[in-house]
Amino acid sequence: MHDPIVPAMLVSAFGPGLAALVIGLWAVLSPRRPTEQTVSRVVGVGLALSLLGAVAAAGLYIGGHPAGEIHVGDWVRIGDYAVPIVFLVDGVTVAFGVLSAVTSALAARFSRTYLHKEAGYLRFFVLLALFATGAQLISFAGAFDLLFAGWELVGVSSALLIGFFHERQEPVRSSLRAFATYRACDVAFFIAIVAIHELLGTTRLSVLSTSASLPEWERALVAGLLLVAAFGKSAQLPFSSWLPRAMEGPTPSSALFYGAVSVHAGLYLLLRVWPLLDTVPVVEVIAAIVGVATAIYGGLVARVKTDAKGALAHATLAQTGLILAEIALGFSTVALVHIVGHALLRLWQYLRAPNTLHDAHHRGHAHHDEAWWQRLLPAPWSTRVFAAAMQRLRLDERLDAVVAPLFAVARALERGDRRLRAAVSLDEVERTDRSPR
Amino acid sequence: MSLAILLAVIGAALTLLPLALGMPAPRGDSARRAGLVVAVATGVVAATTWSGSGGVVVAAIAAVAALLLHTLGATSRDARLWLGLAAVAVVVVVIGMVTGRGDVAFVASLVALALRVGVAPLHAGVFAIAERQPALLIELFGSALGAVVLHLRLIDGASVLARDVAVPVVVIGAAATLLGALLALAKTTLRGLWAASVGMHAGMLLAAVGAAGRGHDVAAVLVVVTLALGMAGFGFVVAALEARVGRVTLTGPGGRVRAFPTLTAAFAFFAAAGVGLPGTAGFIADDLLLHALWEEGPVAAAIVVVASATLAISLLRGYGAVFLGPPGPRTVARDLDGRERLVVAALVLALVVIGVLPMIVVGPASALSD
Repeated sequence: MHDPIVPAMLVSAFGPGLAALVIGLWAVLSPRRPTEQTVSRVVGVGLALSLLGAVAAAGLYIGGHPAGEIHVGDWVRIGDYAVPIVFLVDGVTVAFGVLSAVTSALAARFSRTYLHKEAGYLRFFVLLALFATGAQLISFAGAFDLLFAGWELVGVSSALLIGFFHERQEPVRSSLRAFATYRACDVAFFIAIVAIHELLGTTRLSVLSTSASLPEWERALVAGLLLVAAFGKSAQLPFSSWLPRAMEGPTPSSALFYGAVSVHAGLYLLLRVWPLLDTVPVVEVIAAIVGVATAIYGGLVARVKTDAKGALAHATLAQTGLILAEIALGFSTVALVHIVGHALLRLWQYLRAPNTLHDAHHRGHAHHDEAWWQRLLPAPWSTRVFAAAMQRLRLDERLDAVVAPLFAVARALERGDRRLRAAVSLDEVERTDRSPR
Repeated sequence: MSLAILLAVIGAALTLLPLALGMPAPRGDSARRAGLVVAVATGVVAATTWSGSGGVVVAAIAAVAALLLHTLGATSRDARLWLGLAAVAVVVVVIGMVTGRGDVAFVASLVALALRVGVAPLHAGVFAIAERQPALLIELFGSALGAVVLHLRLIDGASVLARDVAVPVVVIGAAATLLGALLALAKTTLRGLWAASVGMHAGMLLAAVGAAGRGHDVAAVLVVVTLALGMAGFGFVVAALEARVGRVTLTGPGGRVRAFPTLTAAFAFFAAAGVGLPGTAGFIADDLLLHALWEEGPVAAAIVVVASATLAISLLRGYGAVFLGPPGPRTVARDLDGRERLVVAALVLALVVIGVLPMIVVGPASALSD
């Protein structure tokens, strides 16, 4: 704890979360809700501390702080079993940490005026602060437990912000779909973490460098589970359909989550677990294929979308697909630079999205020539590709068809359970329920 | 000793929690509740601090007393029947201990635990209570803490049997967890959703108790603390909402967030805490439980993770259906009052403090198992 980088990372990670807790308890305990100014100031202080901490950590690292793990303590210890609190210091960590802190602070500053007098102002800032804590935990974590805690916070805050404009049905539905995708993929992540702990004895990220000692099928299994987790978070095929729907949320959260940080979190995870992925060629090949397929899908759909945020969402998919392919091919540094550049560009583009009409009016309408590859396609193929892009490959319908049997089973079980309980019930209500009427 | 105080305080507080709902109580309810507090505290203190079989016998007698007092407060015949059955099972525990039949006491305690927390297929009683008398189920969470500690103590006297049945109990628990989560997916009322959530957590508790037979006692303690605090908070919110608007269905959109913003936030928090939101006790409880289950069978661990994710989706769906959407019909009912807010804040703080500093429970619980 005498290492100065530790308090910097702790402040950066937990400053926004503490601000969220203060504002949340204030709202619950006080009969008068805190004003907009109070909310934005308290959360602003948390985010400013987070930024300062991240910049200080980066400064210390650049100034010669050695790369490596720092064991802060144990979250839980029972005999030999421990859930360690470990921070990781290296170029990737500080770059992603500073990126998250800067973009969170920018989005918060933008939102102060953008969401002025919005009914969910307090809710937005509390969720933004929770997100910032989650993002910093992901950035600095040197152990999977801590990383997963941040991962979950990002997921929950993300889903709740997609449903921010809850008086309309579509945002609520989109929120549920995004959350369901996240949770389905998080199942894979959680199982992978438990497996890593049991197979390698600890959840420290550094332990993956010894994963070559494991049998091949165990390595492939864990790597595959981590890949699924990353696909869900970064909206890679076949889990891409939640990202365009996530645009139902307020613009600043779209910019921060789906332009800058959250959508890159899965790719960041793959950078962190590269020592394991590198030992399983088949997983690398799958990642490369999925990355390229997502890039093609995103690029095609982006060209036919007629709304600004929808086009941006698919353009984001195209770039994240390319980054995934870069990681799979082993170009880690290129991927990191690509992540940072892409995140900053998209943050700016998403925040500008509400001004699209204004910008177009000033610039005049750009003339789009047909792309060279479009001329290569025969006309019937071109029409088919256009139609498929318009329908977004019917990804939603295909996923719905996959989960539909689960709901049918749930309904059948519920009916059976109700009948069974009615059969053993002594109360009048249940007797009436089971009567033929 | 610190675990005894902590669990006794949580148990007593949960026993008194329904009072904050301000519902009219029948005559003599104060005396019943006071007796319940004494029984809960006695059971926990005896089970955690009194070594030897004497402590177990006293804890079991206190558990019988608590169950009988719960039964006195029950308004439905189903509740009385199932709680009575649980009481009979605990009486068998006492007889088993007195006659030196540790194995019989262990099995009876397992059955009693399954009956009182609602592990499928013995969940009919808890489901009936959740659907007809939520305040009673909140009370029951208070006394469940002592019941789990009592069961953990019984493992010493039946260590071979506990080890032998660990895997089957874990498998039954995991299956009950998945069943609870799937039932939640198909529920059409808020009370039903709560009942199914309780059923899912009960399955997790049984799996944890099964794994405790092979030395993973701490996971069981943390799981029951999370179950008690999280599900009591959830039930409290459900009862508070229904006291204002009547029975709530999930056919939504309910549009109640404008009228009840604090209730909405509390619902979201307790639902999230129940499915392992980081920073709450549920996260660390899930983590410990899954590591314990993995050692008994990776498939059981995977089933519990899948069930937890499924329940999370059901809860978000329920949250959307009850609170979100266009504003519902105007209501004169107000958001949570001062007393209710205090209860919610206390439960939130308890879940967050244990989530951030789990060693305050894990440390003494490890000492107990040592």
